[in-house]
Amino acid sequence: MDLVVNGAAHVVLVEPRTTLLELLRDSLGLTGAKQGCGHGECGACTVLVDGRPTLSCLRLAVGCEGESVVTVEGLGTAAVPHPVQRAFAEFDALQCGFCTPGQVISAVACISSGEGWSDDSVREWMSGNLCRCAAYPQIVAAVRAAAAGG
Amino acid sequence: MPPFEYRRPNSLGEALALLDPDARAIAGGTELVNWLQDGIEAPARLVDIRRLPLAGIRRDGDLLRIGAVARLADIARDPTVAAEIPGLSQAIGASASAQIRHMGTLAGNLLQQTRCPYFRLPDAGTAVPCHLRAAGTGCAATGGVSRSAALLGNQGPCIATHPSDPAVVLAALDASVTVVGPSGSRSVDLAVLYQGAARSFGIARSELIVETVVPLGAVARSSQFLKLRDRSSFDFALVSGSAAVTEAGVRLVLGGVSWGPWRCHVAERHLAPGSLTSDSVREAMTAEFATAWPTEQNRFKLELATRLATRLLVRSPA
Repeated sequence: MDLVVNGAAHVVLVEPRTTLLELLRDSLGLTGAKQGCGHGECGACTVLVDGRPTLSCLRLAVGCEGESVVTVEGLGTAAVPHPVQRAFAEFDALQCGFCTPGQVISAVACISSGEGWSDDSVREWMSGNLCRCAAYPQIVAAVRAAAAGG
Repeated sequence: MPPFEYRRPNSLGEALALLDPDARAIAGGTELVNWLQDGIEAPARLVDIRRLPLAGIRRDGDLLRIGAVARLADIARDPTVAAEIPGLSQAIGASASAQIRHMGTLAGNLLQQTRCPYFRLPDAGTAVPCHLRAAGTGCAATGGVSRSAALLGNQGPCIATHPSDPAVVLAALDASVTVVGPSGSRSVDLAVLYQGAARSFGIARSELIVETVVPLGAVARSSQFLKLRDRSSFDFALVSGSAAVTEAGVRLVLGGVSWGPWRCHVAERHLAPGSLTSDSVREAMTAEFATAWPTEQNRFKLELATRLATRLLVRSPA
């Protein structure tokens, strides 16, 4: 099947029970999205599929044929980070960093949905992304700043 | 995950031809993929209906027709839904997380599995009694951890509650789902849907919900939804409720108290739209709960529900 990941076309052979997360990490070497809970509860695996924030641990890869996937690797580079990545660094919105790729993708979707306008709207919109280091206040501040700068 | 055949039909007819007792339809997958990973479901075939042309949200005279695979997030921000069925927008906004609202569909939300904390245990239905996992094994929640359990309605072999928030609003509005199958099309009222068997809700494996139909008008326009939970987001309801107050009367439905949305028929008869006060609501809810069978662990839901109903029904003048 074919799909587009971070702007690049891929043709891959997938077993039907392969999740999108497994395809990204194990076949395409894109290890930004993480497997946390594997049950759609923690958000560490969040990617964009056709622009929608998607839990890649709960999406069968085979169902994504012809769709466009964006992972954290597709947002920016270390040299030229995405504004949300820059805000996360500036506001110290992480500690261990495991949840950060999912947080950043959700933040991008949150801002593009127009929900970055208040602390409460960000908290509600980002509630599907858990942070065991509890960097939540800094994450909210980073999303607000990126939304305002957007 | 056990192996399965994956099919993505291009039409509803093709989809129906692929659905048999060993097949399951998949759309958002936010629930079914979990069940596949947990071994709770092991279908021989998955029929992916996510991209069938069943995602429309369409006004049809006095009805709103919401396609089965319309995403929850799209429904909540649909201008007609937001203006004409505000309770539905509120209920979706209170459902799950942003990711799940973008992946999940309304029909999938309505057909979520009734469940309690025991349902997902690896040994539920074997070492741990669970009627839903294996009928006849009993119910671990009955006499066990019952904080989330039902306390209204006939006390059956399972006391789990249904987790859908939109269903609570839709039940208040006399909404229905249209079900198609090999023998044609039929309409099932939301109020009836959850009276079916708790694993299937009376929808056969060869059938699909194709749309949810919501009557529009003054009742829908006055609909409101509230949800109380242990944390303020991304959690199932302890108690939820939807109310619609018009000159014609009061409608009140509770969630989190029974295996489907619980229409408060007794309380509704006690309540007059023109004289809704904290006292009259408390009196009506006390009458509603006369037949409740709470446990020590979930008795608090009766007081929560009374206060929630008060917040929904008693408003300061605009």
